Amino acid sequence: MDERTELGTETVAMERVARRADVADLLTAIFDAEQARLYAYALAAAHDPEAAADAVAETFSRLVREAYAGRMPENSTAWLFRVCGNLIISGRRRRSVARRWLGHLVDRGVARSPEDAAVAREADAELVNALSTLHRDARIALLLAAEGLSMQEIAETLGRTPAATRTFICRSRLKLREGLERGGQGAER
Amino acid sequence: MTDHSEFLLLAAAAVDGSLSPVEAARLETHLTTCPTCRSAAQHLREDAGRLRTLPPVAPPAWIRAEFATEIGRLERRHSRPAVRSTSQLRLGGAFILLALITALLVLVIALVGTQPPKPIAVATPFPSPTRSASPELPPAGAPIPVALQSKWVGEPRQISGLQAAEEGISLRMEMSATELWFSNVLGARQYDSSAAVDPSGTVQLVSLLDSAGCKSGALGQYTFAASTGGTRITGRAINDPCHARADALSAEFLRVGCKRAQDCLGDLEAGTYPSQYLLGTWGWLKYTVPDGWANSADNEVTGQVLTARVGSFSLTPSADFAREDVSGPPPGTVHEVDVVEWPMPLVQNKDCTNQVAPSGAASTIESLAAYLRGLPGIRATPPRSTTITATRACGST
Repeated sequence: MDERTELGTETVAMERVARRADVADLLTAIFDAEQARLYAYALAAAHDPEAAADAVAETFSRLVREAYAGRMPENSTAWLFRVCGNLIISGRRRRSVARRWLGHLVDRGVARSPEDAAVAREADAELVNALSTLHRDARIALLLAAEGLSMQEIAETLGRTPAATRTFICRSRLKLREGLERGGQGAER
Repeated sequence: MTDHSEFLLLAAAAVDGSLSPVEAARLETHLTTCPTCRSAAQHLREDAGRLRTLPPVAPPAWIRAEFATEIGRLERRHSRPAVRSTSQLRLGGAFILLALITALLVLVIALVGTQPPKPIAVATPFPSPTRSASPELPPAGAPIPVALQSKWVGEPRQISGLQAAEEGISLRMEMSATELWFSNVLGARQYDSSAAVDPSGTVQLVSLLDSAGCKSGALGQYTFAASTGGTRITGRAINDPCHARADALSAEFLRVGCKRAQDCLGDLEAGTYPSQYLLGTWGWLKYTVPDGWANSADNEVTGQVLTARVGSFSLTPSADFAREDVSGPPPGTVHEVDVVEWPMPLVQNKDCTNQVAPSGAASTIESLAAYLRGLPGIRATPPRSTTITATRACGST
């Protein structure tokens, strides 16, 4: 009986280890699949490479914490875009104090490379430019809609009612169109 | 003349598939006769397509490194929960900075911890409530008083039904003129309720959605008592079929008055407060301040140069806090006490020979303590050495 109990405990422990490995693998797979799309989205939404990178890093960090707390989101893609959008909206400047400290303390050997800024230009420049003329919430709403998020999910991210969000998205689409027409004319003539 | 703007809106809504059959038919009829709107509708569909196919952009490499570190951190924590603090503090070689910071932390606790808390007068700006006759009625009446319209935080605790707060974050509640909701988890509102004050002064909350065990339409009645300065409020449930909401709101909340879009408290009334983020590893900090101080930072810190999640916390004299803006204090112009949790060793690898400390600057724990002792409003005790998870603080041997 003792032996069986021990065996049982060991099996449980092994299963737990296996499950943990699964979580790490799953998270890494999600990261690989989504990071470039999420960053493109964040760049277009925040229009600031540094803020975009911060938001993407923080979003993945939260995903990891959620997963290890046993709350892996059912639809991780929608979750990532929504949380990232919310971080951009709330504009949290979480690092200010530590940054001031670090400036005095360490050599920032992993400072941002010039490529970081350059990659932003590879995106659909005309579209990103037109987006930048919209209000930040409008950019995020359009980009979340493009990711296939439901009206309810977009509404919750923006803190508006679904009905108001629907109208907001319609108007944002028209504004984006205006922006593209203005930009297109400027480039051609 | 036809109002094309109406059809343009319909065409935009059609992209999201949110037209009613009647609207769709109306739009269709118009498009057959109007080439301008037809072309616009076509363009709007194409724009949506372009947004969907926005080219992916490789993010900076540090994001992956940070992601991997976070997984590693949680793997370690989950594999050895009993010794998790120690494993995070596996230090080798030089940990002068950690020790310094640990010592500073201890110093600050010693400094502020000995202030006798002044009692805070509790005013009740709202008259005592009476029970509403019909709980089915939606809230009608005056908007939420301006004094309550803010983001509020409460001490970290678990509420059955409420989505658990993010790691290290306390209860976070927000009130606008017409709504109340909890925002513990980014991207989600819980207990999203419409809010109003009835003539007796009772705050009436009606759930807008089924959320966290609360049925849509559930009516709860509450009073909120405020401190003299209005920075602390205490909620009391009179009646609420949603027990989890009642549980969550029956607590003291502190007004978020941060200038940096974080959850710090800003100007403080004299009293004792919990930190919100700091020291997730070692437990939350309780601090006591006299009048004239502001909590200017209280946040978690992650990022490219930090390979671990840490908390940081600042107290600033109110006069200095008044000069801060959204990006923080003007450089070199404020006094503040910073406490930074640093659960890993840092290496001093920067040539600092050209960095001359201003004369008289504190460079030891003792001289820092002496400086702090000279500040108005601070009562200091002699620094004591302490041990945190087997790591001795600076000044002890």
